[in-house]
Amino acid sequence: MATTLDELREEYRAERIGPAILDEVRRAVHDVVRRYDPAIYGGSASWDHAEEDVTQGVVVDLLLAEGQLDYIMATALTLDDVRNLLRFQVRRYLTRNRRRTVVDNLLDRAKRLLAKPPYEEVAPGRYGFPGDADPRPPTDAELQAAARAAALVPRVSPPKGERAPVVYTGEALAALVEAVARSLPAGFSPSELGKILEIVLTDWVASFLYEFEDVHRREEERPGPEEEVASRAAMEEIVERCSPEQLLIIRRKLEGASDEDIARELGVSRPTVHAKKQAAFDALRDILGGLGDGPQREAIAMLSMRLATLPPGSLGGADA
Amino acid sequence: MARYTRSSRMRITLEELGHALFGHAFGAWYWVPNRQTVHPKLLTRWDPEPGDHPFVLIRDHTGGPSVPVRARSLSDRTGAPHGAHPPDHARTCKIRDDGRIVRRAWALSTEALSSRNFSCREPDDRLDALRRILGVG
Repeated sequence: MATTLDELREEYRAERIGPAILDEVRRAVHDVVRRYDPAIYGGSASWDHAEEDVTQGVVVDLLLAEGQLDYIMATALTLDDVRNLLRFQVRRYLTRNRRRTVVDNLLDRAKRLLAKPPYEEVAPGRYGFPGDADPRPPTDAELQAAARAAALVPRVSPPKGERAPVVYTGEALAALVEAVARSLPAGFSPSELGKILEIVLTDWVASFLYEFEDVHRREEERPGPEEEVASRAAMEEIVERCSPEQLLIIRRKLEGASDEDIARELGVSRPTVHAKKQAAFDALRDILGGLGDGPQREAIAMLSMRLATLPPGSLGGADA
Repeated sequence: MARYTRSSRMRITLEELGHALFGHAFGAWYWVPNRQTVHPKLLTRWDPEPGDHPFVLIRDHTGGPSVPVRARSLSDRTGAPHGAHPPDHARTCKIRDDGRIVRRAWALSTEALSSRNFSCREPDDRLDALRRILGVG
């Protein structure tokens, strides 16, 4: 391995890139890439498999094709200068080849929603509903709670051959952003929204192919326009018939909360939670029981989207 | 119209919603493959043969890895009689024939309480009778 600038210059003059310079590039790549997500910046699950690709890319695309090696050799005064400039070129390469993720696309769409009322920039780089809460970063527990609310919003499958799946319809993404804003009254930044989306979508990519096949098998179950109207009417009837407290109980159960947790949150006994849960389910069974499988699923998907946007703080205490 | 996939946990049926609400409550029935019937402490299966068995939660499950249950059998002669559920009870209901609640106490791991295994909940008007049969509450 080269240890002096003179050795590197000699190799550069003789063959432009030889083993010594290549070793320096490899070292720069190794130093830099560990701070970057291999899936996004390397197209690989691990840098162990992608480092050499980055090395080759830096050499071919930047050092040779763009003449960056000539620049480095012309300007570097010390070996450290060479290494710093190589690391800079590696970062350039990674940035240039960054792959947009599903979350990136969703964040772009979410930012357009956050730029308009009812949302405001409550502090520099932080968004939410205008209100009394002092803007501050959420705690981990608050982020998790917001993710649980966001997870109630139904997702869509990608059309066949789609390379940039939308994941959420426009209506669903609006509901998701509203759910997050209600869960985090002190505001949130786009990167915090990104963390929430990553939590919510953890299972999404892994299940993608299986679900993709599955949805085409089930395509005949898609509700038509008339059934969608029936589903929406059913959902509205559920919201009308259930008390806010019952709706909150359904939401918390869908989030995976235990009856004990819900009882503690509402300040009531566990049997009381059970009784309210039973009454809510009776109403749901009355309303949904006559619908077919597809419209029933559609109505529950619509209901869960509505539940996600309920303001959690306003629902505690007695029934409305 | 957008197509919702099974990957969305909220694209569920009424029965699956019922599982989310009552799957850990007294009277929840599960149809469990024998390979999932390993007792968490005894580390033996309810039945070593292939197949499955119905089990009912004998109290609300509020946490912990072990869930107390009782099995139901069509061939058992000593357990308390337990009637079939009404035909229109729930679409996923598998308690379709008269049987008996087996006396032997058992426990399942929480993994067995999946929505895939969920059958139904004991009909509301029969919950008290089930409590008497099981000698609980």
